[in-house]
Amino acid sequence: MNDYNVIGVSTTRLDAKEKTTGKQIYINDNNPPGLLHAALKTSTHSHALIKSIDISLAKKSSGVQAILTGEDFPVTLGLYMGDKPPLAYKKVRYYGEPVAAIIANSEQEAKAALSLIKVEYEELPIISSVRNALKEDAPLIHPDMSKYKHIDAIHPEIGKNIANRTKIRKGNIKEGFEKADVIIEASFSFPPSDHVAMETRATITKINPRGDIVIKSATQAPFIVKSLLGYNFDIPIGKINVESSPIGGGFGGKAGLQLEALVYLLSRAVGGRPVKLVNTREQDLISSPGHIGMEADVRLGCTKEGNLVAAELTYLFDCGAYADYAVNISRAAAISSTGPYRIPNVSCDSLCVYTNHPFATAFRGFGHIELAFAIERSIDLLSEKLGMDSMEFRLKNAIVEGDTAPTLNVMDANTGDLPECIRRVGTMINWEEGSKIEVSPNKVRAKGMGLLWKSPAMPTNTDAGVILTFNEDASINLQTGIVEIGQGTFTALAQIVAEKFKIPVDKVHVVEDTNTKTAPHDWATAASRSLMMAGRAAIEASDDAIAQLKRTASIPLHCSPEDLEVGYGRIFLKDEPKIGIDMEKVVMGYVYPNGNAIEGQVIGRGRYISRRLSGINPETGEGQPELEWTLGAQAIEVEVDLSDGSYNVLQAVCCMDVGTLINPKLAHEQIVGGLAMGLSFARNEGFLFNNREQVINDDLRSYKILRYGEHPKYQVEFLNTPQGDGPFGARGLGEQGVIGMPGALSNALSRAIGKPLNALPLTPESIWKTIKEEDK
Amino acid sequence: MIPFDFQYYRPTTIQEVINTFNDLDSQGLSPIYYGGGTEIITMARKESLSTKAVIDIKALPETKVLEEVKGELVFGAGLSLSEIIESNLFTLFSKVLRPIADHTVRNKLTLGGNICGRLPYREAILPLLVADGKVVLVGPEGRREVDINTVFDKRLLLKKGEFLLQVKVNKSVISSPYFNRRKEKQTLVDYPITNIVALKEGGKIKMAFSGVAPLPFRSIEMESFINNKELSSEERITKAIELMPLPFKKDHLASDDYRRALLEKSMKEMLANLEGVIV
Repeated sequence: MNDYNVIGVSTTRLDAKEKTTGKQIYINDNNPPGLLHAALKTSTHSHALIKSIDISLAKKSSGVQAILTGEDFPVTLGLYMGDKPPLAYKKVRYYGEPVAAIIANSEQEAKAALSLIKVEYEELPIISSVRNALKEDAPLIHPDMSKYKHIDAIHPEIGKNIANRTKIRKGNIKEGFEKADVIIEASFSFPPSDHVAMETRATITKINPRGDIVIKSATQAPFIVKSLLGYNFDIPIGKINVESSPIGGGFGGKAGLQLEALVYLLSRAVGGRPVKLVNTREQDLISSPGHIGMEADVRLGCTKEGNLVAAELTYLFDCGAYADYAVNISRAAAISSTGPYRIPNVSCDSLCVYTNHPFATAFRGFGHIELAFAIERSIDLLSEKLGMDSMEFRLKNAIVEGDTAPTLNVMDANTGDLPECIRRVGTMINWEEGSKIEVSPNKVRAKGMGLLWKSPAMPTNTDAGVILTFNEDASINLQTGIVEIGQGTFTALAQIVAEKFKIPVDKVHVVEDTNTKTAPHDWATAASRSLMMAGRAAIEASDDAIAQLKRTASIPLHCSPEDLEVGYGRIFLKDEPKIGIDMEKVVMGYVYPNGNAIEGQVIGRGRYISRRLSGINPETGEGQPELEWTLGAQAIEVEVDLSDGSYNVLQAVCCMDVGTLINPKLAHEQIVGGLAMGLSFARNEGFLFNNREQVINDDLRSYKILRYGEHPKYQVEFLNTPQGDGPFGARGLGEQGVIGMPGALSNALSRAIGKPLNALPLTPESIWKTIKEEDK
Repeated sequence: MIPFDFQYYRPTTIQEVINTFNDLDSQGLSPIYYGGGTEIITMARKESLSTKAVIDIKALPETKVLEEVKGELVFGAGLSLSEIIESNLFTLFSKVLRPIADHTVRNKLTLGGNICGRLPYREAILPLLVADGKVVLVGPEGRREVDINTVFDKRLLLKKGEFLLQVKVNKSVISSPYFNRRKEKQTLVDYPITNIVALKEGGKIKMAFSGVAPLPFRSIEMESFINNKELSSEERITKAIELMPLPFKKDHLASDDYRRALLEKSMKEMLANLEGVIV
């Protein structure tokens, strides 16, 4: 093993005290002088024309400064496709869509005036599912789609409710199925749901007299906010400053553009005064975007020896009323469409489909948790039909170095050891004892497995930067454009810099408030790429600072900079370590005893930009969009009561090949958090709609997430195949924990009851109904 | 945030409560009694409840009584569920209260609020119904102490301005065999989709239910069948369910079929538990 000082050490996270004592400051804790408060009036219909909005009464209400409706901002914005007005304009496309905003002196006055706004609607036909949306005669949710601007990487189909179609054509699908001895066909589905981050979305915006726009926001993507506002409102981009302090959970829900565009417009409407908008929990669940829904059709074939030969995949993503990140989720799901399996012949159509549901944005796993549910269930169905143990089947078909991804990209030497992950998980869950065991006449214990893979879905030029400055005591200030979203990257970055200088981690001070005017550019804190990219930049910045330290120190030490080494707070001769100089005498420039000074302060600069990435061929999907792959295996053990479908999840285990562990404890916690979130999604979550497609569980009284006390025993193990181009050999692991859980849970429960459970969430009643269904 | 203003009163004597009620009522403010506030606050926040005045009854010493008096266990309506649970004066009562809401909420949610509130579960009433307890009600027309089964019909039948002061059960019930089975849709912190509370006294089973139907109930007719040992165990359950005074509920938590299946299962477990009958 490498002889590191702080890499691989579980140092306590930098923000542990603030987070555990409740002293962390969030956006809603800020109340600058002159602050005004905004509240949103939302749609009571899922698809309707807005006939009129009467604001006359509300305008007279106490403390109200301004009321704005869609008529005030007849523009459409978007992340990848400009399809969404800041406030509903002429029509509403989902239940909960904001139709008007009130700005008042206090939050109470803003909210009190909401009920005085009268909106008159005329209902339109409702599209309640992706399959209905794709019917020939389906009404169009966006009849003006041809006028929307969109990025080249997505392919909307004009005249349909299709916001994107990404295709994969690998090998020859027809010949593939001809070679198949066993074929299964099945469909899978789950409804839209939500992230349920602890902190609801919140933004404060003001415009200074000289026109500078200052946005404080709970955002994972301050630089995207800046560039999209500049682009959409024709503002010189340097006049926009976006500040993001640590946020109370992102999970993808705070990437992209959230409340920022609207709050900028609101501040502009009141002469640039600071305006705060904080989502209520209800609005955070349904008015702001959530987790995508999906229906999938899978046809999968293997030889009688159990080798996968062909996969025909149709992924129909329910993006709801607007495209947001969902168009790219459907693209990412195509790129990774097969899951981590060696399949020579693949045909995949991954569609992003408009419906009258709340719209979707990025969610932890970004297309992968969704496709993995369909694939992992299919793998179990196929291995069952073939009569092979599902773990053995997975081992046989797991992707390894030299195999090709659906994009025909060859899995390189950085490919993690998936077969070993499977074996480890098998040991952890005791697969050998059997995957179905009768406990009593009505109780069964069963196990299910799910594999995962993920690569970041991001632009080909995704970048990161790090700037290091020094204090007089030779401690280091580390600045990046990364945002603390709960993941703990700042701690890992501090460890990387501390390792480079061979100093304790507490000598590295991370700037935890990211500010787009002072921080180096960073794409976004998303796609599990922060540690990988900013980590590489931190190494380059450290090397840059070390070179400067050596140069300055070489002058009074009368030697060549090449003879020097930096470490332990000193700069010294490599071959004669006793001869050297303390770093604190050099970091601000060296000062001779007579007062003469030389060189000046050290400023380390580091950059990283993703390497050798390209787009994909629109007809075949061939290309190189994947930076790195993280692979892993997961399994779940359940105990099911066959008399009523209720069940307990006894344990959830995971083995992931993450390369070098920078901070083992943080990595472990990140994975456990992922397992819990994946489990909560698969077990509990999903919006319930009435027949008018209104969400009936739009609060936490009725939308249930996993609670303390409901968690199983978690076990996590890591493999350490190094990522050659990662910092110290590390690769991304932020999102991956969620991915295999829905597949593993549904596989375990399906095995327990002896019938397929192909829809989420897996409620006891849905299991009871499946048990009682007559066999077809 | 509650977007509307309302007046808040916290009287310290019963007379003061009555006077405050009459006063606010005559001003047309439609006052409501306030226990722990867990329902009023959450509903007011969502504007599904609007009031101009609330009268907090927790400052009345009578509402905080938690003790045995002359062979009766007395529970003040202003006690939090946690206070009752932790006292453990009546084990079945504690057992039924413990799954209501979550710990933080139970520290605020009061006995009176759970029984008299708007939410249709009112699980705190179940042990009192089967224990044939009494309620002390106070209002502009005075004070009355009555058998709970005469004034509870799916809801507590309060006169205008009347509020629940205390509930009482005979101490002897604490040694009676009991049974309780609560089922949720999935997570434990949720409303019951079926909740059955049963007590066996003098060889007879008494049963009360919440969650299975739109409102909670106890049914003497159902009990007559469940206690009819001339029938088979299966029949006792089937006939009792046929006589439910309200239909099975169906909502986003569960279908009526699933509720029926869970109730049948719970009743089988009840017979096994209280009579050693294996169905």
